Amino acid sequence: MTNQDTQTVLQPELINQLDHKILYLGQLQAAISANQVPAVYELLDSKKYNEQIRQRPHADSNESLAVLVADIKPAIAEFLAPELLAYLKSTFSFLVFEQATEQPTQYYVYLGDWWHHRQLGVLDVLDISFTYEDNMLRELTQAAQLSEGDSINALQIQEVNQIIAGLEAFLADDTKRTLELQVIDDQLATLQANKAGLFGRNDKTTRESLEKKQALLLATQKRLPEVQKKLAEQQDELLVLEKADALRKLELQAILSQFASVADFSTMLDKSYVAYLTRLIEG
Amino acid sequence: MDKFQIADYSAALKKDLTLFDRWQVLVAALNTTTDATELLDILQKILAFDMHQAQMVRIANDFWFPSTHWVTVAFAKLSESASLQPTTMMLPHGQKVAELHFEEWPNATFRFTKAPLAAGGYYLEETAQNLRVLYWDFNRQRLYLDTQQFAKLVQTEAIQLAGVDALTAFQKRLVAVAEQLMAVGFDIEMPGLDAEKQAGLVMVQKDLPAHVLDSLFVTAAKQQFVLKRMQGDTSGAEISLGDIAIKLTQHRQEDGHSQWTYDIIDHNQIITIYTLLQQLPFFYQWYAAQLAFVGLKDKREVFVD
Repeated sequence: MTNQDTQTVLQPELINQLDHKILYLGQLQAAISANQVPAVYELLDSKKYNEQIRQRPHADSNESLAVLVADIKPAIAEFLAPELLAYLKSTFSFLVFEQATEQPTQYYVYLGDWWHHRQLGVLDVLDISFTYEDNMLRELTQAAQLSEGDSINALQIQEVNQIIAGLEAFLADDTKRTLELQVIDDQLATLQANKAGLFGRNDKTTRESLEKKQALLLATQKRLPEVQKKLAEQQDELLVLEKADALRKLELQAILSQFASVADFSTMLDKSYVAYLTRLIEG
Repeated sequence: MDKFQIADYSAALKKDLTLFDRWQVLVAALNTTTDATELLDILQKILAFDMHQAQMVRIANDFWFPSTHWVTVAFAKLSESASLQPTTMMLPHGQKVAELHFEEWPNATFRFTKAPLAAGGYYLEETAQNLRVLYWDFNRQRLYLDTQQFAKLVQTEAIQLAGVDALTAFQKRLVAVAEQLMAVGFDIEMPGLDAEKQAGLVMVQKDLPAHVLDSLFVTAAKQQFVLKRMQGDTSGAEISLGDIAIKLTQHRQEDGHSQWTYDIIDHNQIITIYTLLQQLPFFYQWYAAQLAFVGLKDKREVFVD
């Protein structure tokens, strides 16, 4: 068999494969041209679409075809994102989405629009899936179970507040200590002036007692910078704890204003693929 | 023993009477003038008047008043024409300086004290708490608000009892006094006092550390207010209070630093930053704790304790 014969034999299969790819690209092009978003999602991942939208278990994957558009996925995501984000914002009004700079098919998802809002996770526009930050939903579930007025950091905040109160009291006493030292200095000066006085033995005892007290007060005063530093550290610590509680409180309020529980919220979020595409198909 | 000369005695007496005649003319003019320039001119002449030139008529009596008294009198006249609500001067028993009483603020009285500055000038201060409001220097033509102590003053029981309307009227009065003085060439610096000028109020410190806004977020959240990130191209944070908003805006500068400012948004132009400091405990608590960073930038150099 000549080389040409071999080629002739293989031609139909190869042409068939190319036809598949051309058909795939044509379908995708048509879906995009006609703004048929569900069809675009089906073409991007037919297995997921068939299993979740058409309820056909164990559907075949079209991964080998979808690879054809791997290099233009950012552009496809850009096409799909506005409508998807509009849907998500209407369903989860407290979520904020920001496009990931390094991965344009993804969006960072934040809870709330407040100061230093926390990132809940990442949305992949091409398969409408969420990847969550590890602790956040667990923390929120835990916070939701606490009684009114209680918080995850409440105990720690109480402890830090007690430490701060102690340190502030120490610093507030410094004026008193300074005055005491002045009095002791005066008393020692008086004793010094009476060195050769009439009450030698008593003077000595008094002086020793005053010097002991003076040394103690001076040693206490030396701790001032250390105490001030520790106070600043504790205040920083308190702010961190209170900020975390305040964030969780706002996050929880936002979630519970729309959903019965944190679990309901995350379930709804996870069902976004089906909910969104079903709405488009039925709409 | 010197020889007694009737002619010399008579001449000296005449000289004193002429001197006091001039004094009477000045005081009478102070009473009748309605013009700010003239008022300031008369005040300066009164303050420069040297009664010690009198040799025979003694001035150490109940009717002698120090310079602060005459400054109070002059300010009362400016204040009177600045507001429909009366200004009353009262001379407490046994004192030499009149106190001012503004009708909108029934529980508070004010007095002038001399500023301990080489440049001179006077402070207007509230008498119960000794909290300064203004620095007034007519030689160098300056009128400045002590933003730090005024913020404390609006928190005092007297103004809390008097309420928002009283504070609004009082601020309007001070602004109107300032306008009169500005018209005659005074340098005026009253950050945050004028309800129509609540944009771009500059904070003392550039480059706010992160903990400053974190603490505002936490303090506000404790009272159910939410500090939000600013939307759009502007960098900063804001708190919405119904129709009113506090905006804290970051302005990046060419030198790499950032200047922060307040904008108080009130479309009715009634609310000032001091109204909010009075009405929002969380805002004042934060402002007072972070004063070194977020206090309003004023002419600090003239306010000496």
